[in-house]
Amino acid sequence: MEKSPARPVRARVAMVVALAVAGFHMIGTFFYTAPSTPATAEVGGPFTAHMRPYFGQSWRIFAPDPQTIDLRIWVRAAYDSPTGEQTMTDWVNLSEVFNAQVHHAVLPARTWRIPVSLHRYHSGALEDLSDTQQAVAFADHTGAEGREALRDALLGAGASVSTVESYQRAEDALYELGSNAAWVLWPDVAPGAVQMSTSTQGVVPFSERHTTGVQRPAESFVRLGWRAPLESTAAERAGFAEAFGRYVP
Amino acid sequence: MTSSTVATVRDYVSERVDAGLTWVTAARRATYGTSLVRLAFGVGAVVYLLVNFQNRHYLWGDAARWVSPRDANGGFGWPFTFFAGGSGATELTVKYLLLFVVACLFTVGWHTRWMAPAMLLLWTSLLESNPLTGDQSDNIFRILLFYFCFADIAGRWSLDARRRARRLATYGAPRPLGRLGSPTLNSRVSEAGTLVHNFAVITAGAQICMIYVASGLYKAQGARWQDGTAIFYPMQLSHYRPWPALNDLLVSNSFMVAAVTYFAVFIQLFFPLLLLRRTTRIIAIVGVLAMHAGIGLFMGLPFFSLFIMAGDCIFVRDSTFRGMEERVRQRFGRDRRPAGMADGPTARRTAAPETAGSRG
Repeated sequence: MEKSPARPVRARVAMVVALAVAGFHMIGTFFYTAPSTPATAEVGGPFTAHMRPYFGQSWRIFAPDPQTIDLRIWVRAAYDSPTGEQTMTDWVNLSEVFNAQVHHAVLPARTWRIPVSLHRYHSGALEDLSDTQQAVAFADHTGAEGREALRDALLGAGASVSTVESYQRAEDALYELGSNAAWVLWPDVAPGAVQMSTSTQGVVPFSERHTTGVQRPAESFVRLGWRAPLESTAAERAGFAEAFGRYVP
Repeated sequence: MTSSTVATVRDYVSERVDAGLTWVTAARRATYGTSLVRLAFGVGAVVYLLVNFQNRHYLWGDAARWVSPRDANGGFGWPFTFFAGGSGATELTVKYLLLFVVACLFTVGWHTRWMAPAMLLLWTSLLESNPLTGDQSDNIFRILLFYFCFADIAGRWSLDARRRARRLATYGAPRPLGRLGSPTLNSRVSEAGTLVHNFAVITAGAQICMIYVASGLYKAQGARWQDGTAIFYPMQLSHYRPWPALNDLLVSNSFMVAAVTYFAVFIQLFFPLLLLRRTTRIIAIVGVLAMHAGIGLFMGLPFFSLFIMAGDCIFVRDSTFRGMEERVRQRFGRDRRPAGMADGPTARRTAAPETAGSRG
């Protein structure tokens, strides 16, 4: 063992200060990261302010149970054909293209997370709405006043102002992606409206993986209503095309 | 309890406390491990920036308005606002290249005491400007690098280390202030640096242990981790199967799936305990390195894996790294280090803390 030197007062004070700072932070980190217990509820509160946002962290990695569903985002657009007839495009699975960025890639670009994160973000906000309010979100709100009409309808269905704002932020993010996609995917037409859908599909359970002819469970869709396409700048279209177009199968 | 027993306990506690205080003051610990963190974080950041360069506008620039409804800079305020709000095309490119240059300088250990905080500010600003594309690798990088801003992460394999060795040869003692200050002041600064370095290492080590224990505790609550099938499921999802044939091969065997699933829970849950003895420490470190190498390869999360694996390296003793370094030098060529860096174990132990090695 290394020989213990005589320690001057300044060294002792420095050690006590360092120990106190590090100790406080470690205890705070423990309460913030560990699964919730009655003790966390009693004494963990004061540490939360210390931890956020800089030391914010969550280690529920594939836990308590790993995700067992694929999350997908779909888009389609409506436009007026040259003959004046209203036409709809087919649905396009945006997730398929972004997921392709991961396949056979040792170093995938971060863009692959976009549809997964947007799906979670929107689904979380949608779940905060009641069934009646969700029905409002599933209805069409097109035209220049569509966003305000959706807001009024949600408020009319009993949603609080904060809930409506929270939901519309999530929906805006989803429709921003969809609007960018619409402009890029169908460049020869001007979309008059965009419709988004999210979907989930489970995987074959472990116990059935070798079963002959086994199929994944049916895909479950959440169809939102038609909305006016959000404004999309040339930079946004170019950015989407760059992130998306190189991976179109 | 007899008075002799009390005295024995008191002596034991006193001895342990004294040993602990000596550990944090006598020399800088984990100098190789922390330097490896710098190299891994730096190389990882450089590669990350290169990989995402083509999509920078859609992720963080004026084409990223799709993320604006989500959050205001991930909840981060000044000074992490350098990239906030989506910069214009040219502005983003200039800022991005600035971060790239800082990451390169950080990697080679050029004036690291300034480059490390600069790296922290710019990197966090970039990633938090789009929280919708963040993942846990961002948290690991940000939190560990904060701790390591207080540590000497350029003690090995860096330009700073070469410069210090030249100063040591010139002045015969560490000169953290360069030409400034008296020898006494430089000595005091060096001692304070050693103390802060070691507490930073302890805090980073504790953080990594808490990551593993929390992850293990959460997993232990899950039915699929309990029945030994959990690792099968993520690899069925489109975005976590970069090599479908390889993924299917890995999960085709029930024994393999159960073994890897239980291994992941146990190695994480008992990681801190396994560190206490040398033999089990080797098992713990090799185990978590293997686990994260597998996650990086089989699940397409290379940056997450690299950053946490880098953190694991601080638990490897300096003497182990020193032995590996010597073997590599003997095998691949002559020693080109300046005289001050080519000292043997005895010389290191007697050198002042700034360049002192560690018996970790």
